[in-house]
Amino acid sequence: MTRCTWLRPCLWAAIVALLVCGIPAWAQGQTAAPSAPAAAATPPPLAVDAPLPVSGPSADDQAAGDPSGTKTGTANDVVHADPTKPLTLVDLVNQAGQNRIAVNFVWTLVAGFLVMFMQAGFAIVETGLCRAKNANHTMMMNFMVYGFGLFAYWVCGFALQMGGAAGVSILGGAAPLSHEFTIHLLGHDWGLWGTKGFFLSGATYDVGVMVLFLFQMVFMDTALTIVTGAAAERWKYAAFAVSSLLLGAFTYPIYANWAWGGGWLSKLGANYGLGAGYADFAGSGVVHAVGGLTALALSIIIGPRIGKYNRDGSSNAMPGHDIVIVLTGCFILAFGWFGFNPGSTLGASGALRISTIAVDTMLAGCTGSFGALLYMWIKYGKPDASMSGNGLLAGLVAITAPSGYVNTMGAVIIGFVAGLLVCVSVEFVDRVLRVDDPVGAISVHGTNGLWGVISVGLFADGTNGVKGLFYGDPTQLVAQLIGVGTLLGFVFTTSYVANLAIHAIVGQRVAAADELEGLDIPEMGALCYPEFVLKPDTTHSGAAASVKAGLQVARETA
Amino acid sequence: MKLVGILLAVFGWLLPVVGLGMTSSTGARLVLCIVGIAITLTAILKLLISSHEKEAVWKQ
Repeated sequence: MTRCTWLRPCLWAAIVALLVCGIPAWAQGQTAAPSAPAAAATPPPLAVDAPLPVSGPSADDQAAGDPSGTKTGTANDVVHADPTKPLTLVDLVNQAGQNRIAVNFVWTLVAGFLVMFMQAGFAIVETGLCRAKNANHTMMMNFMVYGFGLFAYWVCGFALQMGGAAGVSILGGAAPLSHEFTIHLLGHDWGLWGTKGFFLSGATYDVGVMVLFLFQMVFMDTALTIVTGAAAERWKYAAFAVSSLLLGAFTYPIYANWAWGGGWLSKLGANYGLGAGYADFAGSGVVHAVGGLTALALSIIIGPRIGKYNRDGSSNAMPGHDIVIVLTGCFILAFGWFGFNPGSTLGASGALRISTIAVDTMLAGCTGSFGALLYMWIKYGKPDASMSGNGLLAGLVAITAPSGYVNTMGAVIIGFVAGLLVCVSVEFVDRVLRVDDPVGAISVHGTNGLWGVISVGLFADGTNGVKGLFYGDPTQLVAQLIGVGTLLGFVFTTSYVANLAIHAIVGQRVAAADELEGLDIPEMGALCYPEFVLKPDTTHSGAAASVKAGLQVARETA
Repeated sequence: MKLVGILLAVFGWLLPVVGLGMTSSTGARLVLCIVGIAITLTAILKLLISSHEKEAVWKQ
């Protein structure tokens, strides 16, 4: 008890002392924090061109080698505006800007190179799905479509598409692409085509414009090469050349302008309150549906191969000659798609969603092949190889437009639906429409290109500025459907009329005798496989009568 | 037949586009889009294809 009587006042005294001394100290600490910015708000004036007190390793240090990498990539490597003077803040800021644009240039160019390599994938997929007697012809169409398309695009296609697309800040602005031809209608401006960049001349001789040209050009060429598959084994090579030039010069660029070049479709959001306007991130519509619908137009005009349909309208299977190169080509295309979709950000610095886009892409391709494989396995009892390949491509086509706007769950669903859709569509085109498409290009690229465009309006999750119906914005779906209507009503019709004109002037189809012989010798002058023994295609019982009829036509023509 | 098909396909496209200026209702615009696409598809898949099928190799 005695001890407690003196301990309690001592404890109280200690608490009071702590409070008296501690509170001001704590308060001082609290007020010190805001005072720091106040001090920083009035720094001594910093001259942007004043020398910075930094230096890199000396010449002697660097001469000794740098095995650990710590002496490389230092202040010595920052570009000086005046090499005779020390480093300044201006130099640092310029270097930061230069680095950002350099990263984006490299990313976009490498992505473009990947897309260019897809030409090889398309070439062997299409050739493998055709018969051996037409292999040289099919390969040569895929080979030269690159040249025809590139030339047409350089002359006028790029200007029509991107001539008014200035403001691509991620690539430094592309300021020379400064004029869009517009008309004023229904109270709004409607951008129709660009007017700068013909022959890449004048002010468009610009580093940023060149990057944009390369990337957009390989996209355009993808659309062109889709057509060669649907018209394979019967397309006159001269007609193919003219048709490809027209598609690369006019039809594709005009629609691409409307979607990507600042044209009216992209402004549906600003002008009519339809979501973010027509959104097609990497081109399910612009590239694949344009190619697929042109393929449909051409296949209708050119007609089916001899032996494909019997007199009663039933169809005969005409299998390709090499499933190995078909599936190898599908892998090449899947690889190239990593340039197609993630590359469409046009940069990595400031666009880190490239990782999400890449994962969405691979997932949709995966579930696309699942969908097709399951459909064929359940319906026909076997997991069909070529349809599995087409399922993979269908998933990739469908995810191309939404890849920048959907999460992985959306990508999985979109891909799986695409895999089922491609099987249903191939059967519909073949048996109901009786349109002959040797490689399934109409279904893979046309049908699933349209599905990809629609899926943006359904699955876009709003993370990147586009929100679809399932996330609360039905207006985006309207914008997407207007895009679909434009693809069908404008792109198909334009392609149809253009190819009908070519058909009337030079003829689209080879002679029946040439078709039966195989197009390698009559059209190209050399066999693709000279050591093979090629036999007439009468192996399918149903086709025999049609082939005989074709031979009769050929004899009469001769 | 081909000309009718072409004109109808273009009409189906222009219907929802012109409709943008006629109504601001999302539902009405959606209906116009669907009707327009249906018209265009009918023009392509019915009129144009059947007009070419008459000349098809397998029918001769």
